[in-house]
Amino acid sequence: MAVGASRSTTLKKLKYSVYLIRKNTLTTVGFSIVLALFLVALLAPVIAPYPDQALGATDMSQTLLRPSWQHLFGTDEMGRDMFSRVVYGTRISLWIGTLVVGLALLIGVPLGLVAGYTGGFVDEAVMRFTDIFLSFPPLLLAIAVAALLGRSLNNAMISIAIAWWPWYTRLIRGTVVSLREKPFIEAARTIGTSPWRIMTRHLLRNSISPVIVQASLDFGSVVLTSAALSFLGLGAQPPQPEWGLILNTARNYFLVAPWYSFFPGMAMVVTVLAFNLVGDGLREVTDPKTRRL
Amino acid sequence: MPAPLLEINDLQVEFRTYEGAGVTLDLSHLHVFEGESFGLVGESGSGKSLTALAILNLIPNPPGRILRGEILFRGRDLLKLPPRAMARKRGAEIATIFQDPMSSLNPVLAVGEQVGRVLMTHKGLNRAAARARTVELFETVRMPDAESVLHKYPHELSGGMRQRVMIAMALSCEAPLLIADEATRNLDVTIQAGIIDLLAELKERTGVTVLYIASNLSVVAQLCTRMGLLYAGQIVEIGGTREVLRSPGHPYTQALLDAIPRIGDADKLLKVTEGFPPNPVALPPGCRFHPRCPVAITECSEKTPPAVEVGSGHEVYCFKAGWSN
Amino acid sequence: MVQLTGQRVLIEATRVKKYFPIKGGLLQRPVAWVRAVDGVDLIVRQGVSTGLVGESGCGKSTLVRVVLRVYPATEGSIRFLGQDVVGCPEGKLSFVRRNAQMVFQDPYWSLNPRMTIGDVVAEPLTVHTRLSRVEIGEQVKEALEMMRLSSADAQRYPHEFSGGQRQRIAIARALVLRPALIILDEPTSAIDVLAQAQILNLLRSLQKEINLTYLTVSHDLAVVSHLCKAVAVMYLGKVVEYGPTKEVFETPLHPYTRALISAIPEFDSVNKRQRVVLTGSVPSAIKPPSGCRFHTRCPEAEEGCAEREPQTVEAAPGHTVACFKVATPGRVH
Repeated sequence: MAVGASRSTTLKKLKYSVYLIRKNTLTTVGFSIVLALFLVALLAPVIAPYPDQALGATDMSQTLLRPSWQHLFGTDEMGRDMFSRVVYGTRISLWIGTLVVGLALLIGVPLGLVAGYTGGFVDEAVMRFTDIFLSFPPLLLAIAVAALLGRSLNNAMISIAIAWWPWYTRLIRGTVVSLREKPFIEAARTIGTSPWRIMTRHLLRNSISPVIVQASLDFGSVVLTSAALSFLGLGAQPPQPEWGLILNTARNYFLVAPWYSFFPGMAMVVTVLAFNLVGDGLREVTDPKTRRL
Repeated sequence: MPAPLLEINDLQVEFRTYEGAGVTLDLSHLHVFEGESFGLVGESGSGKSLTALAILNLIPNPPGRILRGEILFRGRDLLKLPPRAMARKRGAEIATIFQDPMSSLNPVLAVGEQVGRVLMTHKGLNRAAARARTVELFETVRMPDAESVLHKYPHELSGGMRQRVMIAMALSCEAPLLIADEATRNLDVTIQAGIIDLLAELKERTGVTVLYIASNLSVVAQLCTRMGLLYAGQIVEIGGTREVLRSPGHPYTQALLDAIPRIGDADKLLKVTEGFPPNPVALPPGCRFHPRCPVAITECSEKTPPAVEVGSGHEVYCFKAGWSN
Repeated sequence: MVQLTGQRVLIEATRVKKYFPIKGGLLQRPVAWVRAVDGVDLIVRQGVSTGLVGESGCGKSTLVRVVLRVYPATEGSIRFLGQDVVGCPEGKLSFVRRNAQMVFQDPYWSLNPRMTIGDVVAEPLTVHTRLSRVEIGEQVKEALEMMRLSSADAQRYPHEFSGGQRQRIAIARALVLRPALIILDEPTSAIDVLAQAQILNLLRSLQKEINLTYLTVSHDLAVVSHLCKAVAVMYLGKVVEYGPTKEVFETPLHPYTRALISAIPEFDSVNKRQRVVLTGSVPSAIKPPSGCRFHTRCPEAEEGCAEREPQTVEAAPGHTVACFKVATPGRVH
């Protein structure tokens, strides 16, 4: 905790953050939806009426039923309750988003910090290394990884993370390069602060804001990318209730059972939209200049 | 007495920030007469640069807004002019020089070209005539080696030379009013002295009216015949430069004079005025200076001080003006 | 008298040079050098606050950074408190850092915008000492109060303060370790007149209160005269005159010093100084003029001035100058 701050200040700051979020309706909506999504994912076994069907159990007597009170989203071609599957799909999507973005940040941010602050040869080396990875289209990389390691959701996530981290490196390096000439960094050097401390105490918090905003926006994109991979058969494998995978099968039945594609599709739209709104809201909340506290 | 060239009456400008809306400029009246040089002095946040922007009708909206007032230039209210007419006035009748010539000049055009274009656009000269006139102007501003400077880019020139280019550009249209907004702020002392000399000389020669905006009292002391002091958006004292500096009527003016360190007086501590200028969103009642004023009385926190004439053309906005100083 | 014998020497700089390379060509090799500091000797003793004056490009800001080893020196020797700074290994520089701190020109960017000012002021303590959080908090409180700031401000962020207040915070940070020396790099040039006066007075009283010595870089001679007992005038990387501030400003010996002083705007026309007008502009530091660097603009330049560089001579006790026209037979450096 900061020397100057006391427990009451941290609480005040938190309250103020909440206030800022609530002030903007759209941001509130975004945060609420994200919160709801996490709750749904957490409570999936409780919310889903047919949890075993979500995980794969079939009931061939109930195939392709329209939405009804017993089956809120209808059923698929194997008689499985769509609502339960979409709910369980939330778990997978949030898990994918968190893991991939988290991994990408973990790799990309430290690299960008070090490259930006150290400059010179290290900077050049890191950035060229980054460029190599930037040139990989995530899809092709996923295909390559799938060919090497086999098709699975985990492998798909690894390949997306590998393709994603360079963006964060670039983003943070750019900010760090412009910051390192600022007097407060020079001041830290004259004080005798070690480079490690300068990077973590001074540079990180001043350069992380655009990264956080980007990461929130990316959450949605990652979910979409993973859905695309599953759609192509490279990511989640049946009978996992991953939304992209469901859509893959759903397109065969589009004319007969349009609700089959509609609900997982809407789930994706809502998720991506919610994270976009959160990203925009975070942008405002994390800037100390627009805050009074 | 002839009508002033520039007359600002009852001008109020408001700015909105995340903290709320505050009146950042509140000029009751300000006159600049033809042929004189008027210095407007204030610290940062006093509203002096806003005054220049208001005259040019360039106040960014949002977050700024002109609440009321009139700015009469040669009798016509600039605030009521349609945008195109106002754009014509800028440059042609009201020329401006800003503080940082590097950002005012186009970095990808040679300076000769930049001045030339102004001449061609506003004066309708052809290329050759514009070139010749540019050389003339450069010589007027005492630019060393005027011909070769024509082809130089701004980054190839020193700060002082860039400022001379700006002055040449400002002079090119023979505008009757020249506004210099902290024109010598970022220059070295010896270069600054050169520019001040140049401005004084130009005033003599061409009779141009100068409104010099500064935070530096000493520059105004050298250049200007009349001066006004701004505090928290309001004029607190106005009058002939020599008189105001010799017998300041307002405690703020006195505070400024006391605060300037001088080489000869290094032995004594400076006379310091504590506190900070008020936030426009939370202005103190009555006189805006009263929380920091060493001679404030009860009235000062209750009512706005009126203008008191303490000498010929010398006005002080203070309840204690006219009493012994 | 400036040389207060018996006072320990804080900085001893001998023939210091700092050149910056200009890279060019395909391989980005140095094609030319900017001679920011080109042979400077300087001694700063404790209790003798020294000013470095000169216009932009004279090398004064570079010099102080070389002294603190923010930039490595190209040539020359620098001793701080008797210990070598130039050759010192990176990890052993803490003796410099603990005993010399710096205040920067820009009050808006010299404090980390995302740190509370309590943390900002505490940083030197957290880096160099093993004090507990409570003890650090007390030191921070004391430092803030010395700068007439309330300790309640420790929880606020820099953007909530004005320029003058931020500069005070920066000074509080600089003095929290009670260093022997504080380098002030144009401490008030970005600040309004009234706030400047407050800070100058505070700095002066601090000098006595906690035995601080200042090395003040400024283009404003009046600021230097208020803070410093000695002054060194620099031009294009060299010291052209040095001596007790009062003496140098009252009887300047070098033509450049005379020009600087005469350029200071005056208030009353009664005591109008004789304006020394300098022709031309400051030459490039990449190819400085031959001989005496000032000769291209010097109103008193003679033939010999372009041929050899003038030696620094002691024209009066403690008052040195580098100019051929000061023909006092004295000790040569």
